[in-house]
Amino acid sequence: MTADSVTDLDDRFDGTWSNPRGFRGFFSVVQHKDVGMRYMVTAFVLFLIGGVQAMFLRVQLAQPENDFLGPETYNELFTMHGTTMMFLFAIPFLEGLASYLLPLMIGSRDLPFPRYNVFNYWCYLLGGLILYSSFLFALVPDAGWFSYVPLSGPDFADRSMDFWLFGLTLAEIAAVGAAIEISVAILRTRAPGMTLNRMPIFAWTMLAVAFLIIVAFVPLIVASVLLELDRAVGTAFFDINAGGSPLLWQHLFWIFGHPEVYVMFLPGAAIISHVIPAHSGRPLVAYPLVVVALASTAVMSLGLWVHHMYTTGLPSLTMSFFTAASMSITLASGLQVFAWIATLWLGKPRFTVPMLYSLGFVVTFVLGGITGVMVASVALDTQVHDTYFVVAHFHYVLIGGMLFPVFAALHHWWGKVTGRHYARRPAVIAFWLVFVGFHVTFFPMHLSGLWGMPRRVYTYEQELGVGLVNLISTVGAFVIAAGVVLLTVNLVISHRRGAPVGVETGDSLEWTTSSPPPSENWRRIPMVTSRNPGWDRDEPVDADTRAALDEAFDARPVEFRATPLTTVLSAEPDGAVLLPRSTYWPLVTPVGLAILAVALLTQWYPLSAVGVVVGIVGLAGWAWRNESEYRVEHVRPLAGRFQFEAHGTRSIGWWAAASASIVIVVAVATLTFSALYLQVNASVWPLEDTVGEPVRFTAVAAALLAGLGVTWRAARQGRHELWDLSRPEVRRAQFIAVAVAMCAAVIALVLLVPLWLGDLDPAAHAYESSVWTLLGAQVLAILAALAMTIAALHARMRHRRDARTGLLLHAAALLWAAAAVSWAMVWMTSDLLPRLVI
Amino acid sequence: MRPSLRNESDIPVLSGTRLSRRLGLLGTVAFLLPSVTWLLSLSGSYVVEDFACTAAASADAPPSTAALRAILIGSNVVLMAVTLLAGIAGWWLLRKARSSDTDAMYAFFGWTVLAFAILYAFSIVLIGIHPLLLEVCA
Repeated sequence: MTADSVTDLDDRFDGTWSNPRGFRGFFSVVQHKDVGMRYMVTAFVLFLIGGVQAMFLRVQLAQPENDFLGPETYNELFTMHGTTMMFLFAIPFLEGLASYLLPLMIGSRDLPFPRYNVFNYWCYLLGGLILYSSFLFALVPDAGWFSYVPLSGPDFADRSMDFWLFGLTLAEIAAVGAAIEISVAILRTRAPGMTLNRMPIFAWTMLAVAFLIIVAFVPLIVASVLLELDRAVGTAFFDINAGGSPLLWQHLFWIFGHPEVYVMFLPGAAIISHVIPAHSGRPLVAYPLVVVALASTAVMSLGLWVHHMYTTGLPSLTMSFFTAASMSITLASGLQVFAWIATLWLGKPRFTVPMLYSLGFVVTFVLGGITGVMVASVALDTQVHDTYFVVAHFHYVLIGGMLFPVFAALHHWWGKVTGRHYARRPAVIAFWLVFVGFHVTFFPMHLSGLWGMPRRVYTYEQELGVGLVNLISTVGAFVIAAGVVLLTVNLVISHRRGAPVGVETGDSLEWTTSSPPPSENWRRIPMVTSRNPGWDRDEPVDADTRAALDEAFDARPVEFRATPLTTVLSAEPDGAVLLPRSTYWPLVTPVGLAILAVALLTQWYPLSAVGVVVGIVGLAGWAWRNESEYRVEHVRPLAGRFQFEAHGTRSIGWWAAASASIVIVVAVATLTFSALYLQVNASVWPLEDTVGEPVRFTAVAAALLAGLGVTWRAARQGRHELWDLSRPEVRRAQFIAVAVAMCAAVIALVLLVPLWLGDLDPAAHAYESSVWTLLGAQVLAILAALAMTIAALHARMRHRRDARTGLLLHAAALLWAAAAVSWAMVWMTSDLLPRLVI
Repeated sequence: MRPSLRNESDIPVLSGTRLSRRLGLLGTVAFLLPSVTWLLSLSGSYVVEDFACTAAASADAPPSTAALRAILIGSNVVLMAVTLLAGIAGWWLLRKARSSDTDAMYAFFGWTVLAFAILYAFSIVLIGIHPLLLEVCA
C-alpha cells in the first residue's frame, strides 16, 4: 500500500468519525462524549439552580418565626430543591459521566446504541423543562420530593403535581434507557483481554447501578402513572375508601427511593476507587473484595425500603427483617472503606485536589453511614423520624457520598476531558470552603433534630431553642455556596485559558489515549493484559489476536463506524458492532412524548394525538434510517472475521431486546405487586365478581404463544448459514412468521381492548382500577411485540439477505416472550388470585 | 473461508484456548446465586409474614402463626444451605485455579463467590433468626 493511499484511508477514517458542529450538530450529534458532556453540563446547571433554592430555604430558617418566605413558597422551593438534586442533577450527572468515561475506560469507540443514548438525553432535558415550566404558570409542585399520597393526590394537590409527575416520568425513562445502554456496553464492548477480573471498578459499579436502575426505577415510573391515573382518570389506587391504600405509594416510592441513594453513592465510591490509587501510585487493595462489596451493596439496597416506613404501623417482625438487612449492608459498605484506607496506607498519597475531595468523602461518608446505622434501628428511628436528624443524615450520605466524589472526578479527569490544567490554588481553597461549609451546615442539624425540630416546616418557634444551630447552618450554607462558585469559576476559566496538559498517567485505560480524546477514542483498538492497563502499557499481547484486530480495526473501517464485540466473561473478540452516525431522528420521539405530556397537562386532548403521531413518526423514521445503514457492504465481516450479524447473544440487538423485555416484565410485576398489596389490605376484593373471562383469556394466551412460537422458530431458521445468504425457503418462512405474528397481535388486541375499554369502571374500586391498568399495560406490551415484528417485516422488505431479518425476528421473539410472561401475571392477578380470598 | 453465522474459530483466541463454557457457567451461577438467595430470603420473609398476616386481619380470620413460623424458619434454612453450596462451588473454583496456575478468571470467581457466600449466609441468618425471637403477626 502506498503512502498516499494510507493517507487517503486515514482521511476517510477521520471523516467517518467527524461530528457535525453548530446548530446541526447540536440537534443531531450522537457520539458518546458529546452526549455525556451535555448530560453533565445540563445537570450541573440544574445543580446550581437547586443550590440557589437551598440558599433561600436556609435564609428563611436562619432565625425563628422568620417571614422571608411564606409557607407556600417554602414548600415549593424545598420540593423543587429535592426533586432537582435527586432526579435532575445526581442521577443524570453520573449517567453523563458514565456516558463519557465508560467507552474510554473499557476500550470501546462508542456506546453500543449511540442514538438511544441521545434519545435518553432529550427525554431528560424535556422532562426537566416540563418540571421547571411550572414556575411560568405559578403551578410549582409543593408536596415534597417524595410526594406522599394523599398530599399529592387529587384531593389535596392542584395541577402542580401533574408537572412533577410528567416531568419526572420523562426523566426516569431516560434513566432506564441509560441503564440499558451502560449495561450492554460493559458486558459486550470491552477491549479484548479485559476479562471480568480486569474490569475497572467504575465499570463494575456502573453495571451494578444499571441493574439497580432497571429494577428500581421502573417501579417509580409505574407509581407515577398510577398516581396520575388517580388524579386524571379517577382510579382508586390510593383512595382508602375504595379499596386503595396511601401506603402503596410509600412502598413503591421507597422501592425506588432507597436504591436511588445507592445509585448515587456507588458511582461516587467507584470514583474514589480510581482517584485514591491514581494519586497514591498504588493499585487498589483487595480488588475482588471491593467488587463483592459494591455488588452486595447494590443487591442489598433493594431490600431496605421498609426502613423508611418504620412509623407506618408495620408488624414488628416485618420491621426486624428490614433492620437486619439494613445492618447487613453496612458490612458491604465498610469493606470498601477499609480497601481505600489500606491503599492509602500502602501507597504514597499526594494531596492533590482530587485526593482532598476523596479524603473529605471518606470522613463525611463514614459519619453519614454511622447515623445510617442509627436510623436503621427501629427504636431510634421512631424517635428521630421526620426530624432534622434525618435531614443531616441524608445530606452527609448524599453530599459526602456523591457530591464530593463528583468534585474529585471533575478535577481528576479535567485534563483528560478538556486537555487543560485547572488552577490549583483556587481549587484547594474551593475544597476547604466546601468541606468546612458542609460540616458547619449539616452537623448542627443533628442537634436541631435531636432537640425536636421537625423537617419540612417553613419556620419554628423561638421557644424550641434551635435558633442558634439554625443560624450556624445558614452561615455554613453560604460558605458552601462560596466554594461551589469558586470551583465553577475556576473550571470555566481553566477550560478557556488553562495550560495544555502533557502526558498524563493513571491506572485505567482512558489514560492511554490523548487528552482530550479523539472522536473515535482509539485509532487502534487497545488490548488489555492487566488490571491497570494505564500503568502496564508495555506488557506483551497475543500477537495473532493483535494482528487480527489491526487488520480489521486499525484506523478502519473507513466508510462507517465500528467497534469490536467481545465475550461477556473473558472479553475474547467475538465480532463487531456497527455504530450509527449523527441523525435528528432520536430527537423526534422525545418531542412527541413532551407534546403528549403538554396535552395532558393542559387537558387539551386533541393535542395528545399530535404527540402520539409525532412519537410514532420518530420511531418509524429512526427504524428506516437504521435499516438504510445496515447495507450489505456495511455488514460484511471485517477482515473476513469480525461479524456484524451473528446470531443470538452474539448480536448486539439481542441484548437491547432482552433488556427491553426485562423492563416490560418488571413494570407488569410492579403492577402485580401493587394489586396484591391492595388485595390483602382490602376488606373486600373485588366488590362483586372477578373479570371472569376464561375463554377470552385463554384465547389471548394462545395468541401470544403463537406469536412467540412463530417468531422464535423463524429466527432460528438459517442461523448457521453464510452471513449474506438469501434462500427462498427462509425468506418465505420469515414472511409467514411475520404474518402469523401480526395476526396473533391483532387477535390479542381485538380480544383485550373491548374488555379494557368496555364495562370496567376504573373509578369504582381499586380492584377494577388494577384490572383496567393491568389490561392497559398488557396492550402496550403486545404493541411493543407487534412493533418489533413490523421492524422485522421492514427489514425483510429492504434487504436481500436473510440474516438481518432473522436477528430482528429473534428480538421480536424476546418481546413476545415478555408479553406472554406479563400476560400470565395479568391473568393471575386479575382473575385467579382474587378467588383465593381468605 | 467465508464466515457463517456461527464462526467460533475464525478469530484468534487470546490465551490460546477459550474459557470453558461449563466452568464459565458454573462461575457465573455461583457468582449470582448468593445474591438471589438473600433477595428471596428477605422478600419471601416479608411477603409470607406481611401479606399472610394482613390478609388474615383484613378477612377477620385468625392467622396460623405456628405454620407461618415454620415456613419462615424452614425457607431461610434452605436458602442459607443453597448459599453455602455456592460457597463450596467457589472453593472448588479457587482450588482449580491454583492447580492450573493460569486461570486468573477462575481464581477471581472463586474468591468473590466465597466472600459472597459468607456475607449472604450471615445476612440470611440475621433475617431468619427473628421468627424465633418475635411473635409472628403481632
